[in-house]
Amino acid sequence: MEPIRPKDKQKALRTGATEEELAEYNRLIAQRFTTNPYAPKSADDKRSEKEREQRIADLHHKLFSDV
Amino acid sequence: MANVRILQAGAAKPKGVWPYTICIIANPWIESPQNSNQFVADPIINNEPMFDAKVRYIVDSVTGRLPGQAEKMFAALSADWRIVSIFDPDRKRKSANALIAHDNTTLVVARQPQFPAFLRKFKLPKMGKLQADVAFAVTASATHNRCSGWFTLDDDSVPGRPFTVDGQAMVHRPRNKLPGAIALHVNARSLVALHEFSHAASSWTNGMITDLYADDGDGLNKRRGRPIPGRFCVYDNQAFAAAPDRGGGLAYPADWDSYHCELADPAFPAVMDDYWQAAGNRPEKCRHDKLTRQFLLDRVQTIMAR
Repeated sequence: MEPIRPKDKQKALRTGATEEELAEYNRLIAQRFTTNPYAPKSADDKRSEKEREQRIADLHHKLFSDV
Repeated sequence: MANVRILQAGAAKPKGVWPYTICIIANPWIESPQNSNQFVADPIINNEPMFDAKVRYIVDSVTGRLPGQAEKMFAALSADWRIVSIFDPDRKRKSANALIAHDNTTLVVARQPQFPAFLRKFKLPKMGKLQADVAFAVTASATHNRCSGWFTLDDDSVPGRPFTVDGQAMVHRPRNKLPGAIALHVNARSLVALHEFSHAASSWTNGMITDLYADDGDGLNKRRGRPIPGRFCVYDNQAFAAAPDRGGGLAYPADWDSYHCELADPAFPAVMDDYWQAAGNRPEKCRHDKLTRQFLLDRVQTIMAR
């Protein structure tokens, strides 16, 4: 995926985001895009995926809702 | 009425065999939110001039023709590619005509399984039903503008060109079940199209080229461990060195344990890294790391030779 654009990153940092939170956000989205959606999934895989997507949504709201 | 343009016919092939093919599609509908089965009109479908401009940009970025662009690895090969654009404002509101979804952030996400059937609806004179190795869906979404791409789902039942990476056997496959699929916003510029193409041209099962600006998301172009060794990997019996840093003055963050392959130009970050951080605000100067470059060239040339 496209790296976060510099102006969006700077705005997020100015409004209280931390580098660690931005790194976690990128890390979780990188996990999403490298998890084969066509491979069989166990119940644990599905639960982890749901938790990851919720964390991505929460981080996005915290980091970028003012951007 | 649909406007299907053959921008390049590509290399001559026996009947029924397609050259390496890129399709660039104006996305008719957006699934919003993702997995909701609700669809909103994509504004791109009312603006053919904007779509045409983005088609030119995509071709330039992928083939190394942007002003000042340093990564020209596909410049010569692309003369033999088939490149087709599709602008069809008459597609009905239904799932089959939504090639992009809005995710839970601001990413536009390709609905990869929809692409083959969408393309097959178009039949080209003397060529047959449209198909692709990599397809771009272009969107003018008003709310989501960060681009993304999915790797190709290879047809692993057909023979190809075997290779190994550190002893692990894989195959460059000449055919796919699902083409590499990209959701590209009209705001995209510079290396965005080449970066997403490089994901999409790689493979879910035979080597993923992943983002290098995040520690997670393992792929062919990312290894783990500290200290960083001298050797990155052996690909196809050729040794590749590891990169001591990320290029252009970017260091690996202290809490990372991933590292990358040697860069083609260490003065700038890799194309798959955060090219927005290139010195002098010149992302066009970024090049691929040496493994990514060789892997993609081999894979694309295998497909071109089918």
